Parts: sequence; C-alpha cells; structure tokens
Amino acid sequence: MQIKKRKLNLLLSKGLIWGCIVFLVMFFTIPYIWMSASAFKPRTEIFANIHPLSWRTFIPLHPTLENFYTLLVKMKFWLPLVNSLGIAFSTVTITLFISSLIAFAISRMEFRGRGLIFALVLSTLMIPFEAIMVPMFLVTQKLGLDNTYFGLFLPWVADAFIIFLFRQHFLEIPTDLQDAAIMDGCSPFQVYWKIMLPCIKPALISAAFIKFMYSWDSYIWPLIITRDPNKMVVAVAIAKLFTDQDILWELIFAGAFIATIPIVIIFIFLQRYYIEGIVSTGLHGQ
Amino acid sequence: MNSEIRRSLRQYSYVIPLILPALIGIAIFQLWPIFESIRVSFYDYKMISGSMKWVGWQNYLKTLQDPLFWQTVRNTLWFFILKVPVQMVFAFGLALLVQTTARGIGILRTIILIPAITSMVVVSVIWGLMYHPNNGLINSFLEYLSLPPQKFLISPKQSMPSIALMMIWKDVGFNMIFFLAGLMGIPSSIYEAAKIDGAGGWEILRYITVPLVRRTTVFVLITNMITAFKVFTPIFLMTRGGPANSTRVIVLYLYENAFIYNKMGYAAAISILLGLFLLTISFISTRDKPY
Amino acid sequence: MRKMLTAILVLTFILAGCATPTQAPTSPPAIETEAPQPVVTEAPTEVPVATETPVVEEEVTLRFVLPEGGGRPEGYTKVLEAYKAIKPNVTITLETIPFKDYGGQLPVMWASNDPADIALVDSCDVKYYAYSGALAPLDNVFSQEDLADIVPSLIEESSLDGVIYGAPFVISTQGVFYNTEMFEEAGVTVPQSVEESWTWSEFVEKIEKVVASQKSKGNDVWGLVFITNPPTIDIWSHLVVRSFGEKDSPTFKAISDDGTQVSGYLDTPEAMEAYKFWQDLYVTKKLAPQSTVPDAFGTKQAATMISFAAWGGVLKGKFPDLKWGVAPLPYARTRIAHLGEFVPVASAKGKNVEAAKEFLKFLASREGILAYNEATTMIPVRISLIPEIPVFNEMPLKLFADQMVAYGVPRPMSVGHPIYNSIFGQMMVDIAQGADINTVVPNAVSEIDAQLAQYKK
Repeated sequence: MQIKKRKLNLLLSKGLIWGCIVFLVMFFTIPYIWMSASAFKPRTEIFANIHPLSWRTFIPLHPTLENFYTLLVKMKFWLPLVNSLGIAFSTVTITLFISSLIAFAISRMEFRGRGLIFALVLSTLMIPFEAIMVPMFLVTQKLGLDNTYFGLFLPWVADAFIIFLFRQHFLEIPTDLQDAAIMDGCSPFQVYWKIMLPCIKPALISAAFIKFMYSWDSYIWPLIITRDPNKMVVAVAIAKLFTDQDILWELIFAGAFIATIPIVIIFIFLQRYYIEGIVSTGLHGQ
Repeated sequence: MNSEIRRSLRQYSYVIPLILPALIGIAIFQLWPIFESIRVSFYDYKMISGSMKWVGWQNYLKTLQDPLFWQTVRNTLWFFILKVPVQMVFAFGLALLVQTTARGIGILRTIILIPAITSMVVVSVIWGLMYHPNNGLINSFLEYLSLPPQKFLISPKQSMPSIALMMIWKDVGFNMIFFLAGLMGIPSSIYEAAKIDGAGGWEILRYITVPLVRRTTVFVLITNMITAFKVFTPIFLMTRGGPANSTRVIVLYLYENAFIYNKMGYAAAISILLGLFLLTISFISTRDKPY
Repeated sequence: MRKMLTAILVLTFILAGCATPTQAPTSPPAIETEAPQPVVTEAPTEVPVATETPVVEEEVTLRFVLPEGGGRPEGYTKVLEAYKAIKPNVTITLETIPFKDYGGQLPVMWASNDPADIALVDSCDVKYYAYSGALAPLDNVFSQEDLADIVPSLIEESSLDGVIYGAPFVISTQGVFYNTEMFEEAGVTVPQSVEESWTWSEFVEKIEKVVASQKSKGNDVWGLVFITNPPTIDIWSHLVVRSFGEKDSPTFKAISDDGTQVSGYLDTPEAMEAYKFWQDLYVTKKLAPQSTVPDAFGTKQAATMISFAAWGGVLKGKFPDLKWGVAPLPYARTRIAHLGEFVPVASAKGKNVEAAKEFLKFLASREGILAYNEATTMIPVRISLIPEIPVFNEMPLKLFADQMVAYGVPRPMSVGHPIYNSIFGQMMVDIAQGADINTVVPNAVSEIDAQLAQYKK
C-alpha cells in the first residue's frame, strides 16, 4: 500500500515535471518554429495562413530554398555572418582576459584606490548607451578606429558588467586557497592564472555566453562606426531588408534563421564544456 | 603570516599590470564619453552644428519640473516591477531544472538561450504578430480556450505588461546562466552533509541553496534593475511610447530629446540623473561584507 | 603628418573645384533672384572639352550615403555610370544604411568631422538639416530655366530663407491600390482619373460594400491598410486630415507659415472632424487594422492599400497572382497628394563641397533623371520630362504623375518637421487605437508648440 502510494506520488511528480518541460519547450520554441517555417515559404505564403491558426501556419505548403539562395548568393549574406562571428570571438576572448584580470585585482588584492576603481567601473553601467552614443562615436573616430574591425569590438572589451560578475565570483572563493598558493611562492599573476581562474570557470563560461550574445546582437554601434559593406554585421544586414517601400519578409525570416541556427549548434556543442567546466571546478566535491 | 601575504599583494607593481588593460578601455570608451555627457548637460547643445550655450543647472531644474519626465519615470518603474521579480524567480527555477544532468536537458538549456541571441528586430516582429489584437497567435489561442480576446499592445493598460512578458521571454536565459554558475559554485559536499542530516528537498532549497547564491542573486537583481531602467530597444521597435504615452520610458524620452527635439543638453541631464539614481541604488545593495 | 598631407590634398581639390568653368563664384547666393544665371544645361557639352584638355584634373573621391531600398542603390548606380563617362576623374562610392535607422544616423554622421560628401535627406527634413548647419548651400546649381521646370513647391521645401540646400530630382506620390477581383465581385467600379476621385465618405461606403461582399463568402478582409498600421508618419495620416480643410485654410496648411505653431492649425473644427473620421475608420467601423498585418494586401487580406507608386513593382515581383488596379487618393474638401522622396544634399563639412555640388547639378539635370529612370521608375520633378518617359503616360504610373501635377503638395513645412512628425504621428496612432480625441489633440498641439518654440525667430 505504502509502496504503491509512493510510486503514484513519484509518477505524479514526474508527470508534473514533464508537463512543465513540455510547456517550457513550447513557450520558447513556438515563435522559432514559425520563424523557421517562414524562412522556407515563398513570400505569398508567409502571412497568408496566420488566422485562423492551423498546421499551415507552421508548415510551408510550398517549401522553397529560393530565399536562402537570394540571401546567400545574390546578397552575399555569408560575409556579414563571417564578420559577426569574427567580431564576437575577438570580443569574447579579450573581454574574458582583461575583465578577469581587473576583477581579480579588485576582489583579491588590497591596494589604495580599490574602492574608487570599482566605483568608476560600476558607474559606467549606469548610463544608457543611447546617452553616450554620440561622444563614444566621436572618441572612437578621434582614435582613427572608425571604419575598422577594431572599432567594432575594442570599445566593448572592457565590460563593467562582466567585471562585476567576476568580482562576485572571486569573492566567493575562500582565502586559504590563495594564501596557500602565495606561501608556495606564486606571483599574483600565477595565483590568478593557476588558482583563481579555474575556480570561476562557470562564471567564465557564462560570461562568454553573455558577451557572445551581446556582440552577435549588436546593431546600433556597428551601424554608426562603419558603413563599409565589407565590414557589415548580421544585424545590420537584416535591418537593410526593411525599406520604405517594401519589407522583404521572406529574406528577413531566412536571414534570422541563418543568423540563429549556427549559433544554436555552437551552443549545443559548448554545453559539454559547460558541464565539464563545472565538474572540474576546484571547489566542487571538496 | 597573513599580514606578510597581504603586504606582498599590496605592491602596486603587481596591481597595475592587472588592472591597466581594462581600465584604459573603460576610461577611453566609457568614462570619457560619460564625462562629455556631464559637460554637455550644463549646456544648450545642438548636436549637428556643435553650438554650445552655457545654461548652468537649468537642464536639471527643467527635468525635475517636467511632468512628462516624471511620467516616464513612473512607466519605467512599472516596467521594472512587472519584469524583474517574475524573471528572476523564473530564471532561478529554470536554473534548478537544467542543472540536472538528465538526458535532453542540454537541449532545453539551449532552447531557453536562443531568444537571447535572436535579433531584437526579429523578436519584435514575431511577438508583434503574436500580440495582434485581431489575428494574433495569442488571441487565437485564447479563443480556442473560449477566453475573451485581448488588445495587448494597443491598450494603454496592457501594453507595458505585454512588452514585459516578451522581454522576460528574451532575457530569462541570461539570468538563468548566472544562477547556474552560482549553483555550480556550491560545493556538493554541503548538499551531501545536509542529506545525511535528513534535510528534505524544500529545506535544502530554503536553507542551503538560496542563501548560498545570495551574491549571485544580488548581482542578477542589480543588473536586471539597471537593464530594466535602461530599457529602450523593444519599446522603440514596438510601441514608440504609445498608446497614450503608456510605454514612454526614460531612455525613449531621452532619445527623443536628443535626436528628435534637438535638445542634447536636456537629454544629457536626464541620463546623468538616471545614472546617479542607479549608481546610488547599486552601491546600497552591493555593500557586502569584505572577505 | 598624414593630416597635413590630407589638408594639402583637400586644398588642391577645393582649388580645382573652384577652377571648374561651370560657375561664376561671384554670382549672388540667393537663387530666387531674377538675376540671369549661366545656362547650366550646357555643362555636359563642356565636359568633353575638359577631358580632352591636357590639364590633368585631380582625382576626386566622393562618398554618398543613402537609405537602402526603393530601387535607390540601383538607380544611383546608373547615374554614377553616366557621370563617370563625362567626369572620369571623379569616383563616387555609395554607402547604404538601413532605411529604418537612416533618419537617426544622419545627425550622428554630421556631428562628426568626417561626414559623407553627399547624402539623401527626406525632402521634409532638408530645412531642419540646413538650419542645423549640416548642408552646403547649392548656389548656382539651378538655372532660371531649371527652376521654371521643377515643381515650385519642391524648391520651396528644399530651401531655407531663400537659399536652396537640396537638389530635388525625382519624387513619389501616393495612390489607392485595390484588389480588382474583390471590387468586381462587390460590383463596385473605381474611378480611374484624378478628376473623378472619391470623397473619403464615398470611399468608406465602397470599401464597406466590398468587405461585406467578402464576408458573405466567409472571407474576413480589411477595407484599408497602409504599409504599417496605423501609419506613424504624417505623409499618410495627413492625406486625411489636411484634406478636410478648404484649399489654403489653416487645416490644409497644418502648420503656421513660419513653421513654428500648430494651435489654430491642427485643432480647427475641420481637423477635429477629420480625427473623428480617422477614429471611426479604425474603431467604430473596424475597416482598418489597429496593429500591422504584414502583406495584408498582397495576401488578399485587405481590399485596398494606400501606398507609394513603387508598391506596384513590389506587387508584380512578389505577388504575381494578385489582380490589382490603382485609383486616385480620396479627399474630403480638398484633393491632396503628398510629394515626398529623398533629396540629394551636399555636406557643409564635406572635403569636396564643390565637386559634390557639381555632381548634384548633373543628378538634377535631365540626363541625371533619365539615367536614374533606366534602373528604377520614379516621377521626375521636371514637368517637361514626364511626357518623354513612356511609363508615366500609361496606367498605373500615369495616375501618380497626374496627381503630382494636379494637386501634389509637400508635407507641412517647418524647420522642426522631425518634431512635428514624431508627435503628430503618435497622436494619430493613439486616435486610431481609440484614445479620447478631446484629450490627445490638445495635448499633442501644446507639446508640438512647446517644442517648436526653439525655432521661433
């Protein structure tokens, strides 16, 4: 009797969890199913079967690759894809390195002006980008970085938000780990590189995700900083499909599809590292 | 012994190379423009012609007396209230769910993160259609459940909640991965010890997990607050502040002043006030105990 | 060092520009004076001489920014080819910007030290940018002969205090695109010439009939859509509001003559009547959607669509099975169509202002317009050219050209047009979405007046 009840309970809770998961998957994917289906539809079909809602909304009746052909071959959409990828990878690498360095110094070392530096860093988070967009552009231009790849990512590599994130995680690490290393004769850089950095691996990977997403989705800044078609990024390439006289929906959906799917694949691939990164964290299973 | 260690770390020769790269970047690309913004806030500044006329504190005084500004403050606060608590609880729940290593969980984790990399333009188009008062997906669904159709973005009452829901959908993945990183930082030995002591699932959550991700929670709360107060793009793309000013938020008003009303100085004053407000709140909430 | 070099180069270019024989530097800056001007149309014949002369002309590179789409990049590419043939030393590069952020990018560009030499500006914003000091005056670009040929109100729209800043060359008007099958099924015939246009109330009556006839077949269709719904800019919504006023009445003008006041213009009894009509269209009669239905007309979810002439090309290309026709715009008391299109301007801070002006002169000439029309069809602003381009003499484009000549007017003219457009546009959206007219109109009027006060003389 008791066992049966427990089994039922287990079954119920399992059912509940699965119900939740199904709902979550629907909540997050329905817009994407529709978006992906639309990418394979001819223009006449995209908005023709929205109301009333039916399977036709989500499945192309006359699937076509025309949209992709136009986009990739005629409009050379692969170029902005490559640019965006390159810019995102540069941004992520440099950001992780320099932000973790300063976060380490701020959180684990004592020096005069530490509070002030952290305050300065944090204060940059508070002003909306729209408010400093123009002076930021003028500064970048003064440095001769406009119309260059560097101008597209250098202004974003010192990221207060990421520094703040790393600081929070560095603060969680017990001091004895650091003290022991120093007694072994490690220099601060070695402490940072060998001891501390592995400890915040989950945060590093999170930050990499976040920074990648920001960079991938960046739009206004690339728009201001370069008008060179060879340095165009994905978001700008998609935005160009909205014009005053026509909105090229079929290409917009195809473009959104191309801009999303490779990243999803990269993410799925990186999942493994996420788990590994967490398992190998120095603290785990202490 | 300890004091010796501290002393060795106190040496600037070690500190400077660590902080310099990031500091230079921040100084040039952030602090300098912010300084410019502060300067401009004391002028009547026309962007294109570059003409500047000193007006002292006038821009600030005008802001504080501007009823439209206060309405944008109320709207922004409303957005914050609608979005942040729900999003954080949701994100924390998702993090608990996806931290398990069950099969297929990796896919779910990715799915939750996709909205974050999807361009805001595409998201606003898709959600705009889903919210359509006449033939949107959501109203179709409500109709199916024999519920009355809603007006969503075109009703002054529902516009802000609708945008907040869309932004929760887009941003919850961000928060989730911070919570995930926080959760992963909790040594599994603590859980094991608790289990041995006979703690149940709920008790572990209440007395171990939640307190131990406190710092992450503070971090997520502050960054959410800052991004919520700086919300601009979705509103700019979907409602432009309407209907009846119901979604006119601070940064939209700032943007309009700078780029449409040709009042750059006034816009700068608004942004400095916003920045000061956010800075104060963040510092109050980050004064955590030093190690 | 590099700066020095550039400075020297720039100087040489400017000198070279001054030395070109097409203009007398001493002629008065004001264009509208009766003073005889050098005959500009001869410029192309002079140029071959220039290329043959042993004097090596400096290589000049000009940057030209324009919004993506509308056939513009294609059209300008043709113009550039034609220009290269007569001016081989001038290289012009096109830089396109997404249309929806174009208006936001221009001020940022002009705030910098390195703006593009030539830009396209929406004709209603030329005054604003000229006032801000971004634009170089286009003195000596147009001869008296040119000015007599170009639609006069466009010259006025592109000028500030009597000085021309924009070189109008092609424009667009709007029209009603209708689904011929739906109208035939409902037995409604559609006027085909500008003199027979419907009034707005007739128009509503007809589309109600079409919508009802579709409904009887189980088809839910909209009566009227725009490219975005409700439209957020005055080029669409003012087709209704201004039309409710008598010709040249305050309602029709929609702003004071000095462009700084709207009370007494946007809140007249006629205007209030128009707002009521607008609201009924969306709220009571539910003929137009309160939120955008993309491609509603192309996918047969709408009986009519008010759009630009170029929309016909989109329909042909993207919705080849759709059967459609065009009708003139409806009116209430006064017939109206808006003249609107991007106008080329030269940056005041540009490095080669003279060379840029010379290019604009070519662009606005008959040769430039004809070259542009090789790639994309846009109505020329030179009335004498219309009969020469066959497509403007047959439907559907004839209708748009006829409307331009018969009753095309610029949008309400003001230095502060961006402000006007933004607040008025949002007000019209609010009205369409059911806001109380007696509250939103006075609010918007006082807000516009307060913002425009900065431009009062």
